[in-house]
Amino acid sequence: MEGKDISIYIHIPFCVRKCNYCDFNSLVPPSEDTVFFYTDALIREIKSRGELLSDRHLVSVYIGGGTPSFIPSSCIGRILDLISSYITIDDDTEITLESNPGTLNEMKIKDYVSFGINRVSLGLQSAVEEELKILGRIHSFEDFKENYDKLYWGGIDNINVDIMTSIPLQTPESLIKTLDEVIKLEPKHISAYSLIIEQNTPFYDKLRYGLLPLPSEEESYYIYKLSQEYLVSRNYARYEISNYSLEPGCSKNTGGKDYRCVHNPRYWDRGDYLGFGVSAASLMGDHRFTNTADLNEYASDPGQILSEDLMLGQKDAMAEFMFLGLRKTEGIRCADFKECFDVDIDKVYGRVMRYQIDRGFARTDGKDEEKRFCLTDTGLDYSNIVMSEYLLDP
Amino acid sequence: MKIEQDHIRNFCIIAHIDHGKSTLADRILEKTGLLTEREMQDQVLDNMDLERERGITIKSQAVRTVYTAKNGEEYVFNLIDTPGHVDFNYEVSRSLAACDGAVLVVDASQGVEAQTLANVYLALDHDLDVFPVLNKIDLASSDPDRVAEEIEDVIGIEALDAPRISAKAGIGIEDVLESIVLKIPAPTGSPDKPLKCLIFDSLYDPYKGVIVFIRIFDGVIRPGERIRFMANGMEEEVAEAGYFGAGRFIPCDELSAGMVGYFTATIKDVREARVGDTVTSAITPCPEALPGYKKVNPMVYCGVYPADTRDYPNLRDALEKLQLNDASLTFEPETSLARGFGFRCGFLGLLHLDIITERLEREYDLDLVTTAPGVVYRVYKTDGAMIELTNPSNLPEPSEIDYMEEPVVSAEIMVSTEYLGAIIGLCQERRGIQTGMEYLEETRVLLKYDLPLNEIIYDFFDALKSRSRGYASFDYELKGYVRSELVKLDILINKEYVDALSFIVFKDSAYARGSRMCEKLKGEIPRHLFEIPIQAAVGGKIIARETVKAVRKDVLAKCYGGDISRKKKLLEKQKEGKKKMRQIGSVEVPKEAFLSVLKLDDE
Repeated sequence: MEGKDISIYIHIPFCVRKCNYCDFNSLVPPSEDTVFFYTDALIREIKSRGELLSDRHLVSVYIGGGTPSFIPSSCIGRILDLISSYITIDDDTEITLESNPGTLNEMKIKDYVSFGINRVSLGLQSAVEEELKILGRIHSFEDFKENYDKLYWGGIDNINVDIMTSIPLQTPESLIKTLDEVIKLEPKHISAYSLIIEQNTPFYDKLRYGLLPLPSEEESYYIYKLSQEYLVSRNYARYEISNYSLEPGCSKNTGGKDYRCVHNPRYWDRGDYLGFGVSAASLMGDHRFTNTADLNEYASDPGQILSEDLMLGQKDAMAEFMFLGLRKTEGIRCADFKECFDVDIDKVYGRVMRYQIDRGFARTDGKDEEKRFCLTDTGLDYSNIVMSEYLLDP
Repeated sequence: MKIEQDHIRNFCIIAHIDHGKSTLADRILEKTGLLTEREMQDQVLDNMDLERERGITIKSQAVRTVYTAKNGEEYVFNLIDTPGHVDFNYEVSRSLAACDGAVLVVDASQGVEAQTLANVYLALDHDLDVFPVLNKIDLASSDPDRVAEEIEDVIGIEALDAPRISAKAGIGIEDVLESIVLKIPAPTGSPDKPLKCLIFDSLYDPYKGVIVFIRIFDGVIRPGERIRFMANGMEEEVAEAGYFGAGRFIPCDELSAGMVGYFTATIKDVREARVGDTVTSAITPCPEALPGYKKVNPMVYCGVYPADTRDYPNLRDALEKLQLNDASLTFEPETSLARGFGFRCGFLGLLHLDIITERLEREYDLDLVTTAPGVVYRVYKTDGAMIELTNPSNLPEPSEIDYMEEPVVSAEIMVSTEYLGAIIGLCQERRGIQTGMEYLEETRVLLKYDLPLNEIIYDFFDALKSRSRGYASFDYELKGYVRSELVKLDILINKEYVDALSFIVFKDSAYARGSRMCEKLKGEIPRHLFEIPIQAAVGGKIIARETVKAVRKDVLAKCYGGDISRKKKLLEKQKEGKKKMRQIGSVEVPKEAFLSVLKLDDE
């Protein structure tokens, strides 16, 4: 009998340099020893939690960061090797590695393929050199294209490309240029994020001093909508707020397959996942726990020092079900809610749902068992406001 | 200890704000041994947190202490603290009625100020013997000779032999104590006559019920005795009588003529023991009551609403309790389209309003929304009727109005010549009419103005302070009503008329005020998913407009495993923010927006 589904996230907090907008848990490692030292810590953590993987069915592994492609591929190999000693990794298991252009080469790609990695996410952000420069990216558009081709011909053809909107200096024309260049390559998946200026980043300080040539709010909104419409018109289906996949059947390239990411929707569907590494978060049932964000603290006793460790109550779980599920354009299936919580969704959220439908923020699809509830495009634009209405008073 | 009546001194300390009244009171208590230094908490008499924070006295307080004078005899001092602010003249007058004399504290560098005068006149009205004390002589800028002369010239009381002290540094306190013994008369009255005492304050205590503060003029009060409140004829049995320790009540066997103290009975209803009433014996009542206090009418009105409509009964209870200790607070139920159920409350002034609302929020844990404060207008209708208008929403149709009158105060402003021009300018802007100008000395002027009350209730104090760098002082009293060109200014948010934001203004000020209000509101109302026009209108005609632009998007681009808790916090914040909003049509308006329009000149 096959066990319950589980996914694994592995955090590699190292980069060649930190981008100007980045507030993720990442750093430039002082020496290669730091990387090996960290890999050892990861190995210890996986060993200490390995029994949680037994009798489970592994659907996906995501190696994110930071820039996992930046560290020696042998480190990645050690980790995946150890995981496979606890749980079966089969051909259907999606294994994604995050990478940045300029950090990949044929040797690494060959290794990745041999480890079973079958999907790579490439952080491009923009095809316009000035925009890459102001973001503080390490690569040119040419570097990206070269890396992309190497991946493709090296045997990894399931590739995601990250692009960004609301970049300083960006115009509708420059966005179209980026999109055109990317679409030409026919990647299976595109993520389009709008830039958010976070505190404790160089961008934040620049903005405060009025030195960041951001598009105006109106332009920014226009660019954001343009990215959505343009991608959809080029056969990229928007399946989540920022994620698009090549429509099956639109190109010989897809072979009729659905290229939506397997791993990320696990978060929105509240599936079980284990996160390994500094600041990595896990959800097992309603138990959410997150490793410390302090690298030294993490390494001192990997997986034991937590920044968050809580059992979600039913109300919290319900709210999460809604505000995560509604990120997907297909929304949530009402019967799933009942299955999860043993109560009709209408009883808990009927009023809010009807109110949002009336205001044009949401709609229902299908009937009876297949009835779904999802946000409209407008609802997605204002999703913070809309989703906050699903929080329940304790 | 048997207390001889001629060894009692009942007195208060009066002063302009910041001249050192509370510090002197503390020194007196310390020197007379009521407080050891360890027990000294800064400004013992200012009980409420609010009083200590703002450095002002709101409630009257009383304390008893014993002083051994240089002649070797012991004197009982009853010190009754009084509020210093013009808004609280009513409370001052209550406290004064319990005293036989007053110590006038004057800052030896600043000299006589507007409230110094007002308080002295009040004390003299109550037939109190007043003697001055020159404070802050340790300051380099002090000039006690000049100030003593000024006191004699301006007030006309002897000041050349006034004690020269520093309450802060503890200099000259003995002098003050001796002067109290020598210059303040002992109380008169006979313990053998029927009981006659004045209620000068009261306090609600959850365990003892109402604690009644009294000054006994004749007779003796003892536990077990039946007493009568002369205003309403209510009879009660005294449960406890006593005097005031430092911050506590000390029971005793009896209080006799000339003494100050308190008693409790089983009084539960706050309205039974009205301040100003006379208490007498139920068995052998005195023939007539003491003269009560001048009934003071509220000058400023505003609507007070609970932010959460379910708090309405709690708000009513809280107002009733506050009214027990503050007879000048009035309130009656009112409903507003935007606010729901609340009360229209009357206050003595803007500070009084501020303090009451703050006490309601702090001490009674209520979340309130208040409307723009206004004065009482007289509206003469074409049918000959006159209505007193406390709520702008009730203004009749323009066609029904013959003319309107507004209250005017006569104000006295003391200012140094340096800022004379600026202050005259301010008074003119506020539609003031000068009625007098006197040079008190070469560099100090007493200005007299008639000013519409409406023009001074919002921010006149602040403007006066800032234009004179804090060197002007101000006092006023209601003079009467005069005819005026007035209009109702309405505010519309997203085309919805907001009754809580309407108010009556002088016709020629409507445009400026309306524009400022729209501007202010624009800064306070968060952006919505749609554009929100904010308009000011007079008689249906729009005179000013601002627009709150629409939000285009509000979305978190990334939400993966590590982001979920953060995302939830973000959504919670969003939801919390929304709870604090008041719904006006489809627009959510934060509570602060209603307050912000009251303070239009704060930048």
